[in-house]
Amino acid sequence: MLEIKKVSKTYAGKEGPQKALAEVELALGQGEIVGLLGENGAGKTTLLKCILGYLPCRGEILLDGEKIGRDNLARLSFATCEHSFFPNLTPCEHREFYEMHFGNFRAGRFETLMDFFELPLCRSLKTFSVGQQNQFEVIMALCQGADYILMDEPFAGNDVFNREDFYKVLLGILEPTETVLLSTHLIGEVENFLGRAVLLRKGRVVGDITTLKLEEQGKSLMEYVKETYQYRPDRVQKALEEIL
Amino acid sequence: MIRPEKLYPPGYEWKREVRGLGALAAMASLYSLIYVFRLGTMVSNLYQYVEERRFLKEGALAESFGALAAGSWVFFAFPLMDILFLPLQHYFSYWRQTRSIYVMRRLPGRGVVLKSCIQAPALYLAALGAEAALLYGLYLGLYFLVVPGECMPRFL
Repeated sequence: MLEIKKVSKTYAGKEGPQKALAEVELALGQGEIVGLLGENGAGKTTLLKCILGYLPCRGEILLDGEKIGRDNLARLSFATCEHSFFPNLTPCEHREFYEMHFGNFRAGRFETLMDFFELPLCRSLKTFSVGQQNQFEVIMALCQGADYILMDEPFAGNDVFNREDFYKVLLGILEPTETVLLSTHLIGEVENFLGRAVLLRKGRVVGDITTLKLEEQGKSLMEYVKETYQYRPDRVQKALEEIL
Repeated sequence: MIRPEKLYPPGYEWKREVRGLGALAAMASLYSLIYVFRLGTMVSNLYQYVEERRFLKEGALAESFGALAAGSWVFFAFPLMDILFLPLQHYFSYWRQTRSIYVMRRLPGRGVVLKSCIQAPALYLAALGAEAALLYGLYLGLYFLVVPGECMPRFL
């Protein structure tokens, strides 16, 4: 269980301190596939980086009751649109590096995914297209052998078919013990893939619902998001009328 | 046998670094040869020539080794400064092009990032020190070889 208890984060800004996260409370159980949704600047990336300890924050983040530190940090993996691979290494060299450092590295899964996405094994990552680099980033997060796989907009730059393939592959390969926390804007696309959606707005959790509950309510995820965000569809029309 | 790339951040272009540092160290060694010219000049000044025969000057005293060698090492400051700066360069390589620091910070092993930043510079420092010590030894040996015993100063 990954527990996030009253986590707050403030950035120093030109116009005084900017609150990025405000007392965020969240618990992720084993085997969940959770979407972290929200507008730009809602605090999704900040929350993921706080969980991983890349950003200092207030509050408490526990992994099976223990604070996250050197001893259990490898139970978390991270795929980011900023990319975290070594650009001068080849996928083969990455495998060697991960095998050396992460005892639970999933070599079989690595080979299957590399093969499925037809990524070259012996070319340095810097020569890959952005789409291929995204794929590789996600592959490494999935193969590290982590129990909690955090992803921050991992498919930015991939075409729709590619993303679709990835969701299907993910659903097919994840083991019941593996938890995914996926931050994304692509709400419509991930709807059928998620088991739960957490909505962030201005650093606060404003919605947390399972897709099962949404089905029971007869709502789509997009409808739920719009409702929670109090989205006004007539706003654009009114603004245009005022301008014209 | 340890592979050299294991001493650096993964994917680091270490060969270029070694070549650059090697060139600086070679320049420093070449510049230190100025000592040999100084030594030669000093030794020849200890003698006077009478009818093409060489005699030691009366009461001639050789310059001390320290005074002769001073300044010969000045170019070693360049590779030294470079080496002292390298741990930072290695560390910031984890932010170049991608944020591979995220992976490094998740590694379960202790001190992996630190090791990758300081291992090679520590070896460079040792190699540069050894090179300077070797030259120092050679130059000192040469001093004893060419300076006549009766001209030796009280302090080296």
